[in-house]
Formats: sequence, C-alpha cells, structure tokens
Amino acid sequence: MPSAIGEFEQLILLAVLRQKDEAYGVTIRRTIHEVTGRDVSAGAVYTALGRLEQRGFVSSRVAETAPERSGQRRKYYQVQPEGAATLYRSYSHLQRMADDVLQELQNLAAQQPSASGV
Amino acid sequence: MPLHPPAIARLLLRLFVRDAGREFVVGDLDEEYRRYVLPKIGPRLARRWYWWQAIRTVSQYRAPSKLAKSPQTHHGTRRKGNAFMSTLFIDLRFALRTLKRSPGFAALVVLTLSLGIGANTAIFSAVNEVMLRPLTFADSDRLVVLWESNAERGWQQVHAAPANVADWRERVSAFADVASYNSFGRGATLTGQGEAVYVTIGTVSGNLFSVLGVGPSLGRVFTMDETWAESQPVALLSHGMWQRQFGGDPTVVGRTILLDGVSHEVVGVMPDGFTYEFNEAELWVPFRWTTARRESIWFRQAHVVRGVARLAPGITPDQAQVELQAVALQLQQEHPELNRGMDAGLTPIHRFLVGDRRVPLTLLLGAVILLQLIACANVGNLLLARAVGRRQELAMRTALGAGRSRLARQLMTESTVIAGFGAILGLGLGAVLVRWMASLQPPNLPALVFRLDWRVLAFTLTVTAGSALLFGLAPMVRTLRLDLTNDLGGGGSRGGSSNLRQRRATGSFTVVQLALAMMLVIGAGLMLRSLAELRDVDSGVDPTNVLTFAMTPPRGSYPTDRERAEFTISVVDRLRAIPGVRDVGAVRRLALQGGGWTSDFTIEGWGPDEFGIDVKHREATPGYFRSLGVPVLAGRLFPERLVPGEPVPVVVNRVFVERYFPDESPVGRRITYNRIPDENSYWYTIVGVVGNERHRVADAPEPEIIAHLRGDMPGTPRIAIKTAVDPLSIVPAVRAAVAELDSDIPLVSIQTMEQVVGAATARERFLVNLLGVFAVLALGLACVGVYGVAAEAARSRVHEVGIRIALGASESDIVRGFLRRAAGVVAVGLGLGLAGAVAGTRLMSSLLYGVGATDPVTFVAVPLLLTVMVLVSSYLPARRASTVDPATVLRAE
Repeated sequence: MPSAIGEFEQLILLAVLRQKDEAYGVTIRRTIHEVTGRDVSAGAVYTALGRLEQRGFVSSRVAETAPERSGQRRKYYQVQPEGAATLYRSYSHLQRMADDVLQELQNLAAQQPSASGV
Repeated sequence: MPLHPPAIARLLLRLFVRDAGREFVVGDLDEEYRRYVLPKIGPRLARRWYWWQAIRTVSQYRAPSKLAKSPQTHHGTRRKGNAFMSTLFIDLRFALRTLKRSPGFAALVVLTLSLGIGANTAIFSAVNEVMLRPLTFADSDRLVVLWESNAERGWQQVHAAPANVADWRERVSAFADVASYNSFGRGATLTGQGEAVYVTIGTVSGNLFSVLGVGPSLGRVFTMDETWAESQPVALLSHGMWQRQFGGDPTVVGRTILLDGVSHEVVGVMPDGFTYEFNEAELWVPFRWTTARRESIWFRQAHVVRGVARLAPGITPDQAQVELQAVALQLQQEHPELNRGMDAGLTPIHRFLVGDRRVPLTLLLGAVILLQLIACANVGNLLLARAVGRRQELAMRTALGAGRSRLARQLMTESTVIAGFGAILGLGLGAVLVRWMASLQPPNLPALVFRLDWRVLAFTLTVTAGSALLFGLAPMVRTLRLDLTNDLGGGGSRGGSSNLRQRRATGSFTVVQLALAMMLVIGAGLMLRSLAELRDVDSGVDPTNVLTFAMTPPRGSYPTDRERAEFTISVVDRLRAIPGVRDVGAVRRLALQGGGWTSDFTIEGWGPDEFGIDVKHREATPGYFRSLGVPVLAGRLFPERLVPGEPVPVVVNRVFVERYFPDESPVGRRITYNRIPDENSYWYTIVGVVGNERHRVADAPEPEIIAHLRGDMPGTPRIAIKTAVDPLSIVPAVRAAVAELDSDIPLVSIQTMEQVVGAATARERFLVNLLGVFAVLALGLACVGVYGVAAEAARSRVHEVGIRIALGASESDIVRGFLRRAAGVVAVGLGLGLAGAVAGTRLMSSLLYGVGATDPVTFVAVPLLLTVMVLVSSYLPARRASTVDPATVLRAE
C-alpha cells in the first residue's frame, strides 16, 4: 500500500498547504497548534517531513535566514502533485466513510461523560 | 537574564540532531523562541520552553534514512551497516527494562549514586567559581602581587609601605609597571544622590587599572598623575554602583559626586563583573597623596598597600623575585631604621586571590570524592549481589550463543544507564546543596552560586563515567568467570569456589568502603573538635546584649580628625539617653574583627636600645570597655572627654604588662610610638590596665595600647551599646538619635556582638556542617553496604547453617561465626582507614585549632564508633540466619 498516509502526515501536508509559500518548520508547527491545539515537537515535524520528501510528496528549498535564527537558514516546503493526490485520496476516503455516520458519531461521543476536553 | 536561547539545550540539539536537518531544527527553535515565546512569557519561562522543546525534539527526531528510498535493499544489510548503534540501542532498551523490573533496586542504586554525584557537583561548582574561573585581567599569568616580610617582626607577606612600592617601580627592571592599592576597603558617605548612602571605596594608584589590563566600559580609567593630591579628585564607578545609584545613565561621565562632602568628577564606569579582592569596592578613587605625606616618615613606615606588578616581557616570576629581593636589600641599607630586616616577595595573582580559600575547598573536594567512592563501592556490591542472582539468566544466554564480551557490554551499559540517572538526579541535588551552602554564608567563600558551566558539567560527566566503570567492573568480571555447569544447574545458593570468589569480592568492597568512611569521619571529627575548642576560647568580651554598628562622619562636614572624633563622642553621649541603654562606647577596631594598626614604642626612662616592636594600638572611649565587660585590672579608665592641653591618657592590656612590665606597674609611665624618641615625639600617659581581648578567635591576645578616641587614627569607628533589652529592638531609636545630630550619616553593618562572635567562627562552622553531612552520609552508606553484604552472606550460607544446627551448633555459635567474619573485615578496613587518615588529615592541619591532625581522641572514638556500627549491621542478618529450621533446609536438598 504505497499510498497509505497516516493522520499526522495528513496534518502536516494540510498545514503546508495552508501556509502556501510560507511553509517552514515554525509556521507549520504554529498552524497545527492554532487549528488543532496540538503542540507537536520540531523533531516529529522534521521526521515526518523527511519521510514525505523521500516519498516525493513534498519538495523543499533552502532559503534565506532571518536575524532571529542565529544564522541558520530556513527550509521551505511545497506539496507535490503526488502528495496532493495521496492526501486527497486518503482524506476523501475517510470523508466518504464518515459522511453518513457523522451525526451518529457526534451523538455517541456526546454520551461519553468526559469527552468534552479531549 | 540573557535573551539568547539556553546554550546547553542548544548544544544538546547540535549533539543529537546530527544530519543536515540540524540547521533547520535549531534555526526554527531559535526563531520561535525569539519571535514568539520570549516576548510573550518572559525570559525565565521562555528558557524553560526551549529546554522542553529541545528534549522533545531530540527524543522524537529521526534522520530520514537514505536506504529507505531504494526498497530493494535487503533488510539485513541495513542492520549490519549500523550494527554498533543498533546493539547499543538494544542494550539500552534492555537495561531500562531490567531496571524497570526491579524498581526498588533501581531506586536504591540511583539514589546512592546521586548523593555522591550531587555532593561532588556542588563542591566542584564552588571550586570552579573560586579557583578555576579565569580572572578578568589581561594576560593574568603575567601579574604578580608584591608583599613584604620581616623575620625580625614576625611579619609574613604583609602589606607594603608606599615608599617601598614606589622604589620597586623605579628600580626593578623585571617589572613592566607596578601599581598599588589599599585593600582595607575604606568607607565614605555618598551624598547628593537622594538619601545619603555608605559606600565602600577602593583607594588605588592611578596606574592600577592599566597594570591589570582592564579598560572601562564607559569613559576612562585613572592616569598615574592622578595618584597625587595636585590633580583634581576623580572617581570610577563599579558597574553595580552605576546601575543602583545612577540608573545606568550613560551621561554620568563628567558629572560631579559628593564623597564625604568632597566633590569628585566621575571619569568612568568599570565593566560588569570587574571585581578586585573580594568584590568589596563599589567605587574607586586615587590615593591623592600630598607632597607632605610623601616626604613624611609615614610613607615608608605605614604598611598599608599591596603592590601589583606586570612582569616585563620574557621575565619569569622567579627572575623577578630575585631582582625584587636585591632591591629590598638596597632599601634596607638606605633606610636602616625603617626598613630593618624588610624583605620582599611576590605571588602570582591567581594564587594570591584564591588565598586561604584553597585549603578548605580542597578539603571539601577530597571529602566528596571519598563519598563518591563509598557510593560506588556500595553500588558495586549491590550489582554484584544481583549479578549472582542473575547467574541463571546469564548462563542461559551464554549457552544460547551470546559471547561473553557481548554480555559484559550489556552489563556495562546497565551500569552506565544507572550512572546516567544518578547524574541527572545528582545535578538536581547539587543545586539544592549549593543553595544550602550559600545560606550558611561563610566568610571568604563568596559567590557560592550553582552555575552550570562547561567545566562543572565536564566534571560531573567524568565523575559519572568513572563511577560507572568502577562499580560496573566487579559484576562484569564475575560474569566473565561464569561457570556454566554450576550456574545452569540452578543450585546457585550453595558453597563452591565461585561463591567464595564472590564473597571475597564483596569483602574487599566492604573493606575499601569502611576505610574511606573512616577517613571522612575522622576528618569531620577533627573539624568538630576544633570548632568546640574555638567555642571554648575566652575572647575577653561578654557579647550578651550588645549592639554594634559603624558610622563615618563625612569629611565634608567634619574636615579634621578631631572634629570627627568629637562628633563620634557626642553621638555616644546622645545614645546614652535612649531608654534601655546601659552604656555606650566607641572604638576603632572592635574585638574579634581582626586587623588593626601596630607600632613600635618606647617608654620614658628606657635606654636607647630598649623598645617594643609591633604593639597593637587602638582608640576607644571608656564606655567601650564597660559595654563589652572588659575589666579594669589596675589604675583607671580615661575620662569620657579629654581636657584640652593635658597629656592624652592610654590604657594597656594584661599581655602588655606581662611582657614589658613583669615586675612593676606601668601605671603613671609615659609612652611614645617611636623607637628612639626625639623632640617631635608625642608622649601618652598610661593610666590603667585592662583585660585582654582577642582580635581573631584563633590568635592569642597580643600586647595592646588603647588610647582615648580623639582622632589620631584613620578608620571608621564602631559604636558598642550595652542594653538592658533585646539589642536589636533599640535600632530605630538609635537611628533617630544619630539623625537628630546629623541626618546625612548612614549606620552600617548593624550587628549584635553575638553575631560578631558567631561570624568569627563561621568558616569552621561551615566546614563542620558540610563535613558533618558528608560524614553522616558516608556512615549511612557504609552501614547499608555492610548490612547488604552480611545479609547476602547469611542468605547464601543458609544451607551450611542448617547442617551445622542439625549437627548441634547453638544459635550463639552461628551468630558468633558470622560476627567473627565481620570483625575480620572491620579490622582490615579500619586499619587501612587509620593509615589513610593519618596521611590525609595532615593536609588539613592549617585549618585546625587546639587539636592536632592526629588527635588521639578522634582517632580512638571514630574507629570505635565504626566498629559498633558494623557489628550491629552484621548482627541483625546473622541473628536471622541462626534461626533457620534445619529440617526445612535439609528437606530442600
């Protein structure tokens, strides 16, 4: 199953898409945090990005530095057609599977006493 | 608080994120830290955030594998390419799992190690701060401090006379330049900047800063010409003073400040962190010696300055020393009276500044290293016992094909993991310990801060790695000697040669442990005895209900010495009216505060060759003696105020009478501070004899002449108030009374006399506290060690004991057998420990008072204590072993 893609990788790819031309480590982490509230480590992000790049799902370019980076450069990412296709496939499969049961899912989840915050 | 990311966390990232991704990971964290986190949550939390992110990143980062791109690569080749690392990871994971299986054991060994590592880190951070941190001076290894010695007067490395330093500067070609400074720390009142404050001033020659090679952070330093009174008064601010009093205002240079009412132009600010001699001076002024001063006898007679010289290029300190001594010899001939027997010498500046802090710190470092060795022996013993328990597991793995070196590596990894956890916990403990040490506030050991720089970290890592090797070796060796048939057989707990070897190994661990513990406890015992001796010393004063403080009437309002003395006496009068005050006096050099002036003297009627040398002289008002309970032994005290025109009365102390008037009374004789009196000599009249006071708790009282306080001597007078109530409760009333007379005079170093007495033994108490804690830990560890070994012996010999009981041995026979073995171990351990202690305690003899380094009481009591503790620790398991039921044991056969 070469086209399988995990949830975390989906998050990353979506974050890269959201940031358009400004997708690098800091903005990716902050986007995920702002949208989902999840605090992912830089280590995990780069590990996932490395994997995605190897599979040809994203491409990267190294670019200028900023004064706050103590001379270290930035690495910008862009989603490639193959990555977009896989993400689209995974996500649409999931969405189609969920479509008819979403309401029921919500009702069920609401019955769990402590489900709110999590 | 620095704004850049924590350096060590960054180092961690650089070490563990090793591939090309590093640049982006580190850059991202730096950017996020500076751009978002720091402005939002402040530096303290931001640093914490960075640490947390670094740790998470390191633990979650995996470099993208290059081989994964080519799916045809065989799985096996990938493992082979990275065999070392993957075995290491397997070993690490296995070690962690093994430790997790026995959490009690893991906690015990980690805690034991962390005690040692924590103590080592704490003490080493102090050693680092005081002894290893490089000085801020340029090429500080070319700087030497100059002093004088005089065998005739019993002076060793004392302050030099300004005239001699000036001559050295001119004549010794081995010195590129010579500067001087007064290290007594003069005080002055700074006014005109809001409330009057008392500041500590360093008086220096104009070239001091250029000789030290330290530039200002603002403005300029002094010039050599400014040493003399002909130039305008100038001042240099310390960084702290600049921040506190002037709010870091950069336009301060060129401004005029009032010091003791005299205006000084601020010419510059010294950089942050610049200190010289015990961090005291808050600002510096040049000496400003007048021509009259320089031509007076005082200039060569008063030993009040330290010289500091920069060696000329290519000159070694030894060469400079030779030339300096030659010049000192010339000066002896040129000034036969004032420089008689006056020798000179030099000390490299670093060694001079570390000074007498070196011995106590070395002692403490020695103590914690002993403690760490004891901890290692303990952990080694525990691991050894466990290795025996794991014999079957290890034998099984060998039988299944694991090489012995592979097993040894596995065990070594386990030791390293244990040591690593110990180190992490130890660093935390170290921080706590340093905080505790700093709260004891020992004098002469300033800056006890827990600063984790690379040296401290490297030291901790070395101690940790060394420990892992030490305690890991024994179980490893044991494993390499695995006896397959025996160990696989599962008997395990019965006699046999391997068991004997094992017992011998644990026995020697115990011997070493006892010997080390004994050395440590004897060291602590000697310090404790020394402290007890010091506490028993009669300092000659009664410190109960006495309040003391210092006060400097500013020179601006009271220009002459007489006027300042007169003001001091009026303060004394005014304070007497405060309710609860019994008596008040003023003195220059309070008892137990060290230092003071000395002079030669002669008595009217003595021959030209009869004189006393180096007698201490002080000034006081009569209320001082009454307030501190110093008795009048003969004659009387002088009056509160002198009658103008009458000779100034003095009193002498008992030692003075014993030494110079053994057969007659000195009362009524006239005395002068010159060896050979001339028409200019000032004659004082001895009116009474008072009891001895000590100036340093460990120094016997010296002959003293105490004159009426009338302003003949420089220095800040101290007021002593005897109260009928809690002395600190009258402080507000005292402040108000002084302010009534002059609102511009701050009171400084307000202390009860009991606090002064306590401070006199603070260093000893500090050492006793620390060594005491280390000794108790060492004893505890040694007992746990002995108990562990005894319990293990009892367990492994249960079979033998069962048979012996079955054959008729009584319980006491069995216990006695065990104790005899323990006694053997004790004897060897204590013997070695005694020998080690005799060799080791000699190093601390300079710290001891009233006890020898081989004090018999300590050397008998400590071995006895250890013997009792060892016997108790081995009695309990022996007792348990003796109650086995022989039937059960034999049935198990």
